[in-house]
This record gives sequence, structure tokens and C-alpha cells, in this order.
Amino acid sequence: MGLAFWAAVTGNVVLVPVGFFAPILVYGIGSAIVFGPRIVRHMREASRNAPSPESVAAVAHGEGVELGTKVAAPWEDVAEVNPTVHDAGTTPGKVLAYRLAQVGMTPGCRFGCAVAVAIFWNAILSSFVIDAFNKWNRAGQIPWLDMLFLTPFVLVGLLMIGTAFFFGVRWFVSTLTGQVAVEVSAHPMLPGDVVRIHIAQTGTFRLVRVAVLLVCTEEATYIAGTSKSTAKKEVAKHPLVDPGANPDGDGLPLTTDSTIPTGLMHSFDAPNNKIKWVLRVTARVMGFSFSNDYGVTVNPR
Amino acid sequence: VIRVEEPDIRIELATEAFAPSGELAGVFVIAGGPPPDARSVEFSVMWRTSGKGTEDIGVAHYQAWKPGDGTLASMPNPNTFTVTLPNTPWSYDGTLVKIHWLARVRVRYGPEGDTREVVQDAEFALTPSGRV
Repeated sequence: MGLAFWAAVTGNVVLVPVGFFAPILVYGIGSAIVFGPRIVRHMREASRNAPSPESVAAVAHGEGVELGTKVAAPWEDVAEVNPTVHDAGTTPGKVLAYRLAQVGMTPGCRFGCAVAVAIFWNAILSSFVIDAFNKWNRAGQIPWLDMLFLTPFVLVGLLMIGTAFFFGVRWFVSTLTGQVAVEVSAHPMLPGDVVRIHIAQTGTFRLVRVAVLLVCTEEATYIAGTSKSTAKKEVAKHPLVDPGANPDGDGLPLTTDSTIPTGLMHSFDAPNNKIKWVLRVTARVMGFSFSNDYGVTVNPR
Repeated sequence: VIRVEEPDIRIELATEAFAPSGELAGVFVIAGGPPPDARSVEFSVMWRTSGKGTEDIGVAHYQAWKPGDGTLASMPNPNTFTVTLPNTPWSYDGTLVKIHWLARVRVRYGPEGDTREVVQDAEFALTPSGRV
């Protein structure tokens, strides 16, 4: 501060920031040189004296997470036959033994979220766009720089409106079809087994061209900066019900027997990594496409 | 300062692939025995994930030998082991998620304030025969 003040008083304006930051930099570098190795050594020693991740995981009944982070709560099914394979959860069915639970956000919730995000983004953006147009009106010339700067933001805004419209259509379709229930004769599913599938709906507008796929998705949760993100990727799709091959027609209600393909990877559920299976029901209603996912567990064979 | 040589650990497994619920058989040896200032020798059979997500681990078998409780002195070297493997998770090589099985020996040694560590892994596959 003193050096910066001296530089300002003597008229050396260029030296003011140097006078201000140089002592801080020198102090920081000096501290790093003197204390850095000690701190690193201390941290290394602390980590080597800490229980190993394997011993921590063993104490936590077999499951642990990345080095240096806390151990996940012991899972309830540790003593079960298939550790890391968690039941997707079903309820008793009306026609078959198990009713599957729909996974993912409901269409109405997706639509609401998309509308809220689109309004928020475009409301803020609109003030800048209006300002640019006012400039144009006042000067009589197109403010090219402003327009160029705003164009990508406007495109994102339009994309958000388009997304909201898409989810709006999906929500509208879901109100036409009503609740679509999927029931199965056996759960968890075993590769190679024949499973009876029953699909019914409550709405008045009938689903047609009904197809069922067994879909596998990998999920990986990772830390990016200060927040957690989850990446998802569909890695396998196995058709179980082909609308063209159904002798009883391709609408609902639908009851059919399907063979679960052999050689499938079982469901896997760890704190940060998951392999999930769903039954995906796709169909058409009044020219619109329909798609719902229902969680299933695939057991190892 | 006299530097103690890093312990040479070798792990040999009976085969590279084991069936779910099968018996993992193998042997590990610390050449010349554990260092005189060994703090612990740990043997574990475990799975770990790799890929895009934060690493998860699970331990199917864990055993530790320490000088403090007298177990290190009686630790056989070479140490043959048989461990009953769980049914899951199977080894998996996916796009975002990969699951690896391994036998791991971890040796910690050195004086107070200068703890050193050597970790040796031997990977194997836990997979049913005939899996695509």
C-alpha cells in the first residue's frame, strides 16, 4: 500500500498497480516456498496414516466411495445374494403380479419447468433486445455490434421456446392418453426368461402402434467445479413387443409374452455409477408420438 | 538418510476370469518379506468403477496384518488365499461406467513422519461363462 501510495504521489501512475500487487505476490511466493513443502509433506503423511479406502469400505459393509470422501451409508441389501443390484420397486398389479413404476419427470412437470426457464431467459434478454431496437430507431442505423452480440442469446431463447412447445405437446398428449399402466408377470427380470407384459390405459384417446423396448442406460455422477453433474447414455435397446408382429392388433390393452434377451448386464447401483434398465413404451396417438419409461431390475443369470 | 528399498510385491491369480459366486484362488508374496519398519500389510479383493463418474469401490474380502497386534510377524509369505466371490457386480466395460475386479495388496512402512506406501493390484474378471 505504501509503495502504491508513493508511486501515486510521485506521479508514476504505471507503477501504482505494481506497488500494490508486488508485495502481495512476493509474500505469497515466499510463503509457498517456505511452507509449501511442509504442508504437502504433512498432507501426504496424514493421508498415509489414514485408514486405506479398502479398510473403510470393509468397515462400511463392503461399499465405499472415492478416496478422501466419506463412505456411503451401508446398503440394506449387503447380505443379499446380489450386492449392488437394487430392486427398482413395484406395486401389486391388477392383471399381472407386478405393476411397474414410471420413471422420470411427469410430462406436466417437464412442461412447467421448460416454460419457467424460457420465461426467465427471454424476460432478461428482452430488455437488451428492446434497448438495441431503441438505439436503431434513434440513430437510424442498425447497431450491428449489438445485434451480433445478441444473436446467439436470441437463438438460445428461441430454442427454449421451442423446447417448451415440444414439452407442451407431450403434456397435451399425456392428458389425452390418461395413465398408462404396465404390469409384468415376473420381477426382477432374468435374461432368457419369458415374461408376460400387460399394458392398459385410462384415457379416451387410444394408443396405437404400441411397441415395448428394454433399454439400458449408464449413469455416471461426477464433480465438475463445485457442483455435481450426472451424465447419462443409452447403451442398449432390445425390442420386446413389435407392433407389426402382434396378432391381436397393435393397440391397448395389450397382453403379450416376451423373452428377455440372454447375455444382458445386470442392473447396478453404486453411489456414483449406475446401470439402469427400463421398459420403454412407445406409441402413436392422434398423429403424435408417445413415450413412457418404466423402471425394471435385471438380475444376473 | 538411509533409504529402504521399496517392497517388491507380486500377486498371482489362478486364472484371469472367475465365475460369480466362485472361488478366487491365488498367492501374493512380498520379496524378502515385509520391510522391518512395516506399519501394515493389507490384502483385499474388491471391485472399483472407472469412467466418467466419481470412483466407487466395494470390498468382498479384507484382511490386515499389523505389528501392533502381533499378526504381521505370523503373516505367511508367500500367502496363498482363496476368497469366495459374490454373485455381483460382474465385470463390465461400458461407455460411461466400467467395473473392474482386483486383488490388492497395500504395504505401509517407514518411520514416524515419513510413512511410505506401495500398492500392487492384480485384475481379474468376474463374469459368467458364455456371457456376450
